Amino acid sequence: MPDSERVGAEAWRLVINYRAGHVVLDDVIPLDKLLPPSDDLPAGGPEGELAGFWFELRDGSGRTTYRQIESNPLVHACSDVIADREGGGTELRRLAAVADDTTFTFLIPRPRGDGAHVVIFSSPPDAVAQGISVPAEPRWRIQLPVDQPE
Amino acid sequence: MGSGDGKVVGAKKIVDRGPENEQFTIVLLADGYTTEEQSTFNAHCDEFVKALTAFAPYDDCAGHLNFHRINVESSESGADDPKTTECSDGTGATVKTYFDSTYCTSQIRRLMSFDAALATKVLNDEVKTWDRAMVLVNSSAHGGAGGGKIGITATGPGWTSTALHEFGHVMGLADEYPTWFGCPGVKETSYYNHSGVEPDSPNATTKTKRSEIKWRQLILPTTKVPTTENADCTRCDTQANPVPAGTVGLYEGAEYCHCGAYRPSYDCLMRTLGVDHCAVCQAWIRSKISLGVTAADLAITPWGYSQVPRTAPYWQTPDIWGDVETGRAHNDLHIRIRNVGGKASQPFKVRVTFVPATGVIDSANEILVDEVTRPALASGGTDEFVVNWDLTPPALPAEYAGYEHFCVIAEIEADECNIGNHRAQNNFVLVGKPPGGSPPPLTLEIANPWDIQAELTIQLTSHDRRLGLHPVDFDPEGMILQPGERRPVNVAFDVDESFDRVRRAEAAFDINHLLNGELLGGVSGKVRAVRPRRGPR
Repeated sequence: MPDSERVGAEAWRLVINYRAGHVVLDDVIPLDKLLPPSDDLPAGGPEGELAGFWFELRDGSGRTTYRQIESNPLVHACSDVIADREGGGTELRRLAAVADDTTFTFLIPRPRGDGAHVVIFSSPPDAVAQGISVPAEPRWRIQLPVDQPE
Repeated sequence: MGSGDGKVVGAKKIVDRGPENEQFTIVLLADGYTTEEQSTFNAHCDEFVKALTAFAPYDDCAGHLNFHRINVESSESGADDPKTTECSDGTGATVKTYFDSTYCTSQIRRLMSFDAALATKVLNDEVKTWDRAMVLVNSSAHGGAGGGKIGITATGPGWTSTALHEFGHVMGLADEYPTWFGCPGVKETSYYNHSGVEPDSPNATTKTKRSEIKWRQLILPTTKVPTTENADCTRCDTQANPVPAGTVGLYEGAEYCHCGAYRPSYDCLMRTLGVDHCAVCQAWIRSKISLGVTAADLAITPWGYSQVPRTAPYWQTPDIWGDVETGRAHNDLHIRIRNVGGKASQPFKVRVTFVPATGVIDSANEILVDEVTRPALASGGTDEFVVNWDLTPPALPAEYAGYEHFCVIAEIEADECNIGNHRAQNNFVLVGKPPGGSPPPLTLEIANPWDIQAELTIQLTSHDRRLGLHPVDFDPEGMILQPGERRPVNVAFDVDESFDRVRRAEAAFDINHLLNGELLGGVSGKVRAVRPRRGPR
């Protein structure tokens, strides 16, 4: 990983509450913490469609400055054991359900300047809960405070 | 149930490998452990840490990981376990626990959930720099969940095996199941064929063209793509693995579907409990964990075919160079290694090998040039050294005596988390042009490493208007190679007479070859004006 890709130590943890399809920024916690490099999106379909869950930190001009592809926090899912496989290993299947409400967090580099915001992309949770791959859309936008929180 | 049903005792760092702000921090929270059961929770934490750090790639990356536990005393032991029509094997228990863990979430017995808002608050209060967390529930019935950054797992017999899989989801990996309900999958018609929408997850794809596969840099040219295909989409593909275990390729059956989606390896922990993470999953985890500052990070540019995205052909690197000549016993081969990490390295080895140009690079073909041990390298330091490359028999096998084209590979051997920058390759070809004469033709051997017929295309490119390239004995487009076939091709050079007027003139060229439209190899070389040799070397 080249030096230029490391993200500096001033970070914010965003605490986000999800209730009945809406997200609310509950808290912003400043941290001194190194973050992993920003993720590139893989090539999507002919019109760029991509399924999954990720967020983008954008500056006031709308330019994406940081992105992380993450496990979808809006779906509860677990693995159920089906059977032991001949030759070793245990086969699994997925059991999943949409979360009615939950809390999740994002770690972002401390934003600079006015207008910084986070855009959350997600495939429809009900499709995710059924294992169906449906394009993600920018579902929520969270405006970030200008000043560093106390 | 909830924060009134217990109290947070406090956090304890149980594995300390470096400053908190520079480490990847994993936290384990207790739920359903009473005051008297905290020692059980502590033992469960040790069990999880031991299981995770014995498991690739966390074993290599252990130096980047800090672990904390947060002891929380619940009023009562266990977890809620509703007994309903759908959760018919629930016990009906209702238990006062701090995070209110429960089975039977959304009427799915094995699916556990907890108070995520409260868990997040406790994490933020107790271990501010946490990256990922697992709620360990003091309950023996199988259950758990993974989603977002906090997973949950019961702690019955064999729990760590499932917990490692769920932790993979917490790290951002997708399932690699070829089915939703279970194989053979004849009744799951909605899962016969994938929707075709590319997933963002690093270990699943709908792409079938090598150049578009998100893990293409880990697929060797010798591996056919797709590697396996499902001949009957109405059921799971049960064919045996046709390639060696662990081979990264494109295996049909992923994202819960029989066809139309692919996984990177035949098997992986994200598909089957009890097996290792595949190389692609490991690379993703490494990229999230190896923040790099608190450890050495030895690197060679451009990291061979591990670099993503690749900004140069994988057969070019500025960190391997030399002036080499076939038939000469002494050729200085220069290697450069850098330490881009935050700490000095230990002494390390570099293995230098070469492959005569056949269009195929795999470890079985590599011939050793030298294996050297280098001293510890300071953070930010650069180590340049020279190895001798003997290009005379027997160092150069007799069958390659007439070759002018070689691929040199340098590979760092060091125990590090970030291994994506440990291997690089540079192709050498130097064609000498005698004064007043023509350069000899360049002979290349192109191989079809696959088990299918392939159409071969060769691209000839001159980067100097004084130099032209043309095929001698082949059609650059539309040649067919049978499976396993190796074909020698000769490329001739036309050099403008003005070349001789410039001392040690050089002109660069590229020769690339494609199989079935996919760029698999090439050589970047030079025609150089040379004086004819006078007598033996």
